[in-house]
Amino acid sequence: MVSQTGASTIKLLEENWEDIRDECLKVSGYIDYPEFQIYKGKWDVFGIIDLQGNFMPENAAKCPKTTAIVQQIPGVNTAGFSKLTPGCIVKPHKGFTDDVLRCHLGLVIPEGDCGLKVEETVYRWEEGKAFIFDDRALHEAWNRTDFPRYVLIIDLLKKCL
Amino acid sequence: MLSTEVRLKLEDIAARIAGGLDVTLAEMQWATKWSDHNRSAAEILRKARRRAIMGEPAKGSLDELMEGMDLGFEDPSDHLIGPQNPIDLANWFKREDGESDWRQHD
Repeated sequence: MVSQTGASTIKLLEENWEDIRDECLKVSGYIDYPEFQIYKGKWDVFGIIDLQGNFMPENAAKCPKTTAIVQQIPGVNTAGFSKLTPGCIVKPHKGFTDDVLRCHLGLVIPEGDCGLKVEETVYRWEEGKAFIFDDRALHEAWNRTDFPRYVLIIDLLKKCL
Repeated sequence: MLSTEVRLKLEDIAARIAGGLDVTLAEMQWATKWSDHNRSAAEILRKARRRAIMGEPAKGSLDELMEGMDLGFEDPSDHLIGPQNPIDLANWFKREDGESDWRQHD
């Protein structure tokens, strides 16, 4: 069950998804996701808000529309673009903390075998659609297609939802 | 260099990460700040995360050695291209296919 704040966050993201997608594809400066042990292949990320909850000014300036949208979300803690390249597999893992829930907004989703499994539930991203899941649950992701998958990832403080 | 107080707090957080137990966001933010500016702190957190995902390495294994030396991540499935079970490996060494053995060329 998504709270009212969660529902308004999803609505805000879905209403603006095309602007977010355009910036996600335009920005330069993606880096390898630093936790190399949890994935095989190439997983690139572009941070907008860091773990401390601070905007990363250089990156935020490259995607002003996305930054302005994310700023409107109550309890946003971290945010960034995630590019899962063809063949990349994110192994089953759990997040660190129970204080946040994770939101994904599908931006560029290739046809084929590309998905996210949270415990026993398999999600398929859809372009322009957002959903929230518990990052503390065991989860894994994969892109077994020939094209990259882009999503916007946001961590939301549970106490604000 | 980490003070004893900081090291103990980091090790407490790391132990919970390694054990899959909950860590508060404030604790993660504190630990990450340290790891961003201190190699020892980064090593403690990196090992904990690795342990959380991989579990405890077998005694005497390559994983244990690499973890102990903080040399990165050993994952043979990333680069193993030869026979993967003992029988196939044994057959490969027997070389019963009639091909000449390269070792005899010297």
